[in-house]
Amino acid sequence: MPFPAKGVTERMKVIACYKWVLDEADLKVDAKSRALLTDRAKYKISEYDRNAIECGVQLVEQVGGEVIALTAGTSNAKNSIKDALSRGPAQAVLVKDELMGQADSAVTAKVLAGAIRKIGAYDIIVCGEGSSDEYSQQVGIRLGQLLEIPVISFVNKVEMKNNVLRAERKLENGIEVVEVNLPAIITVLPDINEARIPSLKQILAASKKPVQELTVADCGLSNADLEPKVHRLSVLGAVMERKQVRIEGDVSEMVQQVANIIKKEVSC
Amino acid sequence: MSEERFDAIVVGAGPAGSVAAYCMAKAGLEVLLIERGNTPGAKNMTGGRLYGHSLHKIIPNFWEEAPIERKVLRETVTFMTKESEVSLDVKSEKWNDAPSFTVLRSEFDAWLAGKAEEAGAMVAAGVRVDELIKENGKVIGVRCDEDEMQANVVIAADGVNPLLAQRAGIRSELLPKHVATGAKEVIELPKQVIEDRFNLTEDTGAAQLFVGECTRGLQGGGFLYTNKNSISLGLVITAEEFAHSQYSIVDLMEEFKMHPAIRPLIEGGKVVEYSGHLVPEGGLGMMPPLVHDGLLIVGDAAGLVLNTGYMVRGMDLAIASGEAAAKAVIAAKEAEDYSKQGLSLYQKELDNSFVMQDLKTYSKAPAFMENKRIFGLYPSLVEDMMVNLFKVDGVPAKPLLKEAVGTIKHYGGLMQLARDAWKGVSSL
Amino acid sequence: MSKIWVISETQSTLLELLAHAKGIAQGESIVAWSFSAEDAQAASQQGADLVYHFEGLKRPEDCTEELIKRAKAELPVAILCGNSKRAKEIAARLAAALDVGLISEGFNLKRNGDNFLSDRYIYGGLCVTTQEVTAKPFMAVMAAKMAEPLAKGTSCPVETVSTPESNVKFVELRPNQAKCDICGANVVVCVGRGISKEEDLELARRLAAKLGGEVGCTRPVAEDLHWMPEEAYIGISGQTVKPVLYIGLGVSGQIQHLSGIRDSKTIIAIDKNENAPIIESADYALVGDLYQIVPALLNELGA
Repeated sequence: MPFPAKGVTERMKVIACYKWVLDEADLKVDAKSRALLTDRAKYKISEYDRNAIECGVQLVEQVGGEVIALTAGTSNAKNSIKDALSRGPAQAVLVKDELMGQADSAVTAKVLAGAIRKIGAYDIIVCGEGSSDEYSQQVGIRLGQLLEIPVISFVNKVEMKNNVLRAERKLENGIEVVEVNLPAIITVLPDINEARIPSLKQILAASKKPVQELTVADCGLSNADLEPKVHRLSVLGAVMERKQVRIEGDVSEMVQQVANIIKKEVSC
Repeated sequence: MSEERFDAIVVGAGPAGSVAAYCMAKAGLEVLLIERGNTPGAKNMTGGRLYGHSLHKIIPNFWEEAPIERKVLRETVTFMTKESEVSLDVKSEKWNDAPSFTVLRSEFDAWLAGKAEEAGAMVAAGVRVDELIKENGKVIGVRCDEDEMQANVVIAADGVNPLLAQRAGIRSELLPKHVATGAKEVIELPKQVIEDRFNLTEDTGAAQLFVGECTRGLQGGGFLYTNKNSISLGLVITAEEFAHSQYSIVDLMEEFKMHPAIRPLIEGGKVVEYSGHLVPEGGLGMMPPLVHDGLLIVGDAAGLVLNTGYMVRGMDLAIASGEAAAKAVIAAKEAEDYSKQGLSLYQKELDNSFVMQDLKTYSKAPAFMENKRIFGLYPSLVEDMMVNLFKVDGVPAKPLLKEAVGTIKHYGGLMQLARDAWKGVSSL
Repeated sequence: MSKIWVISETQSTLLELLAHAKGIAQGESIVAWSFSAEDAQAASQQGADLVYHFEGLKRPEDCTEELIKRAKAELPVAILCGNSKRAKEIAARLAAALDVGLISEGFNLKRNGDNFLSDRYIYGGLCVTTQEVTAKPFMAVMAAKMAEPLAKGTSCPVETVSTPESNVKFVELRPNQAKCDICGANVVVCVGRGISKEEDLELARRLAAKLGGEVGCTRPVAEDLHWMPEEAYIGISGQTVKPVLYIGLGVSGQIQHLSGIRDSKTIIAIDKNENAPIIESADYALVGDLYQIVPALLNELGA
């Protein structure tokens, strides 16, 4: 495959996808029933997606262009738009459908792909490597496969070199450096950047930026396409079954007891 | 400087700020409401009670849509000693026409700021205002980090620690005696358990104030408010005293929770929140000038808190002051005069309302409250009298009056008690 | 004949996947996809009925289009993948192309005829969810270290596979300088924010040395304080460890950290705060000053 292959538009169009999620810090678990309690929980843009938006914004700040913030969710997701736009994108697109409330990664990727086809030409799609709630680490990668564009996952450094996207992936055994032609999709790790804290001016400017709302039908999908492939049967608080033995006494008593326990487990 | 200019910028989306923004936006003014916390209410704390009258005036029957916890129909004042509690306990339906509610600020404030936004105010959260911008002695805007925003008037609703006004040289630093330290825990309990323990009908609530042992004789008191499925429990201690004492508020809270008056009420509960905050205590004595060229000060920042010991009110005064400030700004806009003179309607409105009138009425309260005997001696006196009143132990009983006088003599004598009682009654 | 596929570019997980596959096979033959000759050899002896070995790849992910083609043709009953980042990418692309679900970091895999069930953690480790999949093929990225490799047996056939070029150009791989010491350690001594000075890490090092273990830390110690490298931090976004013995020194036990030590055999916690979450999540908890306890413990152990 020849490199570089085709010229990139001078003004780059970047689509940054994000998810509006429950803030896991607000979540509680009922001690007896282990049920998940979400009633006092607030929503937020998933952390990794803030890095994705920031990555997109930094790219267009370097080479010129604009970022479109894209999300798919229930009507609740409307509350995310001001936050997303205050982080630098020029406009936002929201695909709104109540069925997104039970969407799995397969569905989300399909809906986003449909929205992106509707948006038209683009150069780079940026996604977080996973979402802070489910952390399935799939949507961005699936999206690339569905759109039939090159996928670079787990990226912690990216730049445009001539007309080629060069990215570094942080893998278990080292850093892999790759290059792709555009259009392409990258999923980014949180260490790729520090997401900016919106300033007052940026927050005020956000309310003036254009927002487009789409239905799933606009994206070429039917309700059947929104049927999840993975069915959640239950959600319960995770338990760690541990002995919960409290070792008491003064320092020397405690040390005596724990030393004995340690010696039973390991030879030392 | 930006070209954009607002009619008013309100700093702080607590009750005072949000109400000011709401009223002004409803009158068609361009308003910007700036809040330091990521969401309004995130950085706010209260013991947990709102007297509803002043908000009801602005948003009638607000309790039907606002996230309130319980309507308080049971009030208790308790003298606490190490081993006893003596309470005056009142339950009445008669407060229904002037209701008060327990609230959780993070939700309530968010709702109230949302109302301001609905009315047309721009709300910017997660932004800290660093300083006021002045030109020729007049406030003309605010600076947030590198951004500057202009307005005809700035309303400082930034709370008990009014750094903005301080930095602008408009007021001096807070004196320790003007603030108290408040600490509070929110303890989760099932709704039914709360209703059983406090003898409440569904969705009604109890409010209880404690004096004495809970603050180890230091000036201050304890409070307990019932929320839907949690209890707000806390202590308020005047800072000046506290700095010299050997106790830490953490220790005092632990003791408070362990006291037989409290422990059974929170048994089985789970602490889900712990917070600390300053509470203005000074009343009229700590009030700075509230009206300046291009600037009005409202709410806690203006020291508008009433603490009479048996009643602590901050939010309802804050709300009324927000409304008054809005009226002043609307009038100033009409006259196109945002000077101290042009904004003077604010002070007039406050003076004519319950806000200043109640503060004046209770103006001697802070001085009275400094009387240490209230927190140490008298709870013990009351304990002794009440314990003896109900004790039957075979020792031949003395006549009631003789018994009472004997006890009082033991606690400083009749004259001192009478003087204190007079001072108390006349300042409350 | 129906098949179950397993795919991993690391040998240890490949062998674990074969064990998982054996656990759910109901007459299917098990096909392993490997990326090196040794992996192919190991797989052929430890559970596979047929091994494919990709040859001439610049990077493992380049096999994906070929895998997709074959999966569409053969429609395996189930496809289990390793949990490395590379394998996760391959799995997600495969799942998208086949239009099926993909369970990520699954465990407690069960099969009920045509239906498969798996658990996984969500909300940063706070909750566990049981998920069911009915579509074919069932796909899952399996959590690591949850199965023992099968015993060696006779080898099965190994075939090489070549692949078309990929649309991603490989430039270079810069191997890690640091290695992960705690990853396979038998004993892990973990330091948290309860340690007040960097020099005090010496206490942990001495204890680990005495017990034949390694020193790890919680996220703030690596990311905020930079007292230890990031390969040393244990948690949901760091390392997961499965030692025989875990000892937490001044570790409060936030859920994100506990996720990383969940499968330790024995957890001992030493912390001065009795309300610290780790106290409930330990087998043995000592509430006290670690600066008194640890030196005394070192003494007692003869360190």
